Amino acid sequence: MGDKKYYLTKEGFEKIKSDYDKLRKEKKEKLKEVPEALHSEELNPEYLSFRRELGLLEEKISKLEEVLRNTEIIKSPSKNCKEVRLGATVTIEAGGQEDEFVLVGTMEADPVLGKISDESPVGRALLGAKEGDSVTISSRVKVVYKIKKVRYK
Amino acid sequence: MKNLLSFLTEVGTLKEKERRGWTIHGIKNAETTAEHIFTTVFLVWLLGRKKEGFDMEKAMKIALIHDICEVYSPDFTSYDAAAIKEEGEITREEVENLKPQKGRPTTKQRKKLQKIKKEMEDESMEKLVADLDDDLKKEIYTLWEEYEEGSTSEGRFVKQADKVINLFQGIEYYKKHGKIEHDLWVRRAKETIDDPHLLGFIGEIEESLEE
Repeated sequence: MGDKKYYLTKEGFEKIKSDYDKLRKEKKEKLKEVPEALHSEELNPEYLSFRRELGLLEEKISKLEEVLRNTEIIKSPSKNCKEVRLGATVTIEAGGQEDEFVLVGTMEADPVLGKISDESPVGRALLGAKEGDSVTISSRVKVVYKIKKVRYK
Repeated sequence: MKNLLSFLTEVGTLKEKERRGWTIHGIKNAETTAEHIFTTVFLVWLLGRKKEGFDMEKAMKIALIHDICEVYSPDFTSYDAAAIKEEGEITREEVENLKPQKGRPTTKQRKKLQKIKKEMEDESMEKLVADLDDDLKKEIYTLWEEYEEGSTSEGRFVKQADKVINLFQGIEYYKKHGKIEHDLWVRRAKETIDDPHLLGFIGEIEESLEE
């Protein structure tokens, strides 16, 4: 099975790259102060704690390496594009209330900040729709999202 | 050992802390934060085991710590966000004195609450873990950051499982008391959840409403 592809905005990619660089630097600093492994005949507790912390750092670095290796940066279409694609800021109206979402890949999704994953039911329904369209999320609770505006940075 | 005793005593207070999302609806003897954590850990285990390349131990630890900051910080709900004006700034003092309002908050309202909520939760977590050993403190912070920022698949899964458990509990209360705005909750779940296993479970929750 191939690695998962991560779709990120340019800002999302840069944030992950910066986190990665910071962690590598942190690891380099940590390795400058390795405690003695043995304290008399027993393993030094400080050394064990150092190993645990280093392990956590290395795990985080390796996860980010995997993401950076498999990232595809979302290309913004022309500013006049009225179709909802990844990276679009979409003004919707649903249930008599206007709201705004940005459609992103799962890694960057943060619904509290209005960043909706393209793999969520609403994200999937919005993807490919155009300004003026209405999309319906059908389930026991039926909700119609009217797409009022689509824009790109 | 003293620091562990006091940490467990503090975390144990969550066994008494009723969730505001339910008390706002007038639910008596409402679910506590500790009970919410308990069912979240179960959901993470039951559905997380179906996921490939998933670090279950880490995910369960994230589920255990995901709301412990509520020992000292308020348990904010979307009804607090709904009470915030869309325009202008909001101060911490105003947030502390919000009168929750039923309905669905917009992204603008959620963002405003989130900024101050995060500040308060960070302070609370700092106080809670202050006396723990450095390596344990670092581990808790790492797990919490993964949850808050969704920087790992385990962190993202627990964050979504937390929402699904809220929906599950809300529907349970709706069936018993009929006081919950469950339609808005189901709608929000379709905006926030993208994990296929959790979406399947939401389908089951919805079906249970037909029974």
